[in-house]
Amino acid sequence: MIRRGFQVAARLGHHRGLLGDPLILIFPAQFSRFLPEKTDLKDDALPDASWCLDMLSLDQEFLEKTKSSGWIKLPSFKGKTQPNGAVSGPCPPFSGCDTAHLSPDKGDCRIFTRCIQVEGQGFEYVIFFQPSKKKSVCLFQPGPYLEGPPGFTHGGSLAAMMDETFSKTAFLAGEGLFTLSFNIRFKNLIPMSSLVVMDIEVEKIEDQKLYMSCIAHSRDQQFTPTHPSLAGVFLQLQLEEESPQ
Amino acid sequence: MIRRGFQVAARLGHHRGLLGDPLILIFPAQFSRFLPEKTDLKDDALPDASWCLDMLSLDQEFLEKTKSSGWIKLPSFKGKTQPNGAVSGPCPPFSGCDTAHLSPDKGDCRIFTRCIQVEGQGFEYVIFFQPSKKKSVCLFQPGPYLEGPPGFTHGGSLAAMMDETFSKTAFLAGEGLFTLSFNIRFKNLIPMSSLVVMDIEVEKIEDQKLYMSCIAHSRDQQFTPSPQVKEPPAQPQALSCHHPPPEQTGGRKDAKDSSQAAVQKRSAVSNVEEKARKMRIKKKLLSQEWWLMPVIPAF
Repeated sequence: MIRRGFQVAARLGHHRGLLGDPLILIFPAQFSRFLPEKTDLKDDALPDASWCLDMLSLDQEFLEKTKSSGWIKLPSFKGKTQPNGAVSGPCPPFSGCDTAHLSPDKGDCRIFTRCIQVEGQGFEYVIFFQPSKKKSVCLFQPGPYLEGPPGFTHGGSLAAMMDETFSKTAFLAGEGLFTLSFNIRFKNLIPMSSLVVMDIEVEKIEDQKLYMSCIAHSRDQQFTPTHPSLAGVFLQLQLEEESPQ
Repeated sequence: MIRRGFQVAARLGHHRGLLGDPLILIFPAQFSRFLPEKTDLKDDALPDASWCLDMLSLDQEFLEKTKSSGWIKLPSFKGKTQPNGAVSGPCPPFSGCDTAHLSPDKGDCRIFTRCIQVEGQGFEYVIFFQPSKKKSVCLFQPGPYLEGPPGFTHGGSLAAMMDETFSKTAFLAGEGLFTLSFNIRFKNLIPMSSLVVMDIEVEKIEDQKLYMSCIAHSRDQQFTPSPQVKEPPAQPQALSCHHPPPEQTGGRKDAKDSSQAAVQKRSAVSNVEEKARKMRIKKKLLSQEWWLMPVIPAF
């Protein structure tokens, strides 16, 4: 089963480059996975009424950087909605995955961080990636459905958001595919519906593994980790790299 | 803000014991938080049509143990629904939490692992706790909304489920309140809608911290290390969730070295799952650190 899992994943890594867009031609083929040329899928990484002012302004700042400093904004789709809007059927049966008890109309698979489609209630985020420096920034606003302690964000939702951002960054930076290990240290509680800025960097790539780090902080930190009142989370991740076949 | 956060949390820790239930009277007051005497809230930890057969049978097995072996089943509520069914308003404003942009009818706060209320699509789980041994078991079935790689569960959703189970266990076992650190190592992909069994133990309580470990595996393990196999396993095997002891110097480098050492060690091990598991147990890596909060009388 694990071999089949890797085969499925490797197919994800193989895409032809897009024609007609000189920017896309510069980058490796895996970018086309995140930047489809034509799609009817709804991009969830666009601003909506629930975004706080900090998030809107930082989003605008990074959009400017996509024009001048080589940053790329990654669109974000819910998952398996077909281009004609139809929701796909049950997930394919893999060995060990007993879906017989699920009725066919309940097989709507969604990428976890886009599972909550109610505006402003779940994961509101957008990811920007800079290929030349192999770093990315995620602007994340956790909604009320991600509650842990009253009024604060669930630690697990933060871990999930980091895992998702790591996944995308690792894939684009070095074809990293699966999380091997994940270490997170919580320094402070994060209030719900506040902006969390995550700075991710690829530290090194060695022995088919990508080593990445992340610091999550509020906007006040202005991206410096040495601020005395730092409310941050420190993370290290090792990701196994699989080359496409 | 952090002081206010702790004040809020300390209020959580104070409940009067329930009267009328001899079982509850035996246990510390924090149990009443999870076992309310009367409630109209819907318990989401009950079986429904989406539960697979393995999950139903294990649930039944543990329900039997609640009658005979001192296990307790923890009910699980969505969050802020009032007893009369009304959904609560926006969350109270804390400093830094700007909710002005949220309209009042969109402030329905939910505990994260119960955010998806569509049957079978999100987190389907139930937690059993054994107070005498300070251990717990979580039966978890990830639904299609928790997808990561196609057909498999998102690693982050597993981390969230572990964090939630750790939270409840730590609170009941030793009034632990907040996660300090969390270290997870993935060994295998978990197919969607398959049963994951998580065994959690409190390893030690020291310096106001609880150290806990968790092993997540499929039902086949039957809670003992699997027999030696030479072929790659057909079913998902164990995921270990454990953490290095707290660092004295608190440096990024130390954490990196220990996790690098762990990776090198792991890569030297063959696909034999039992060997890997024995090594982990031998090293006695400890997982989560928790702050112990004293129970403060109600304000």
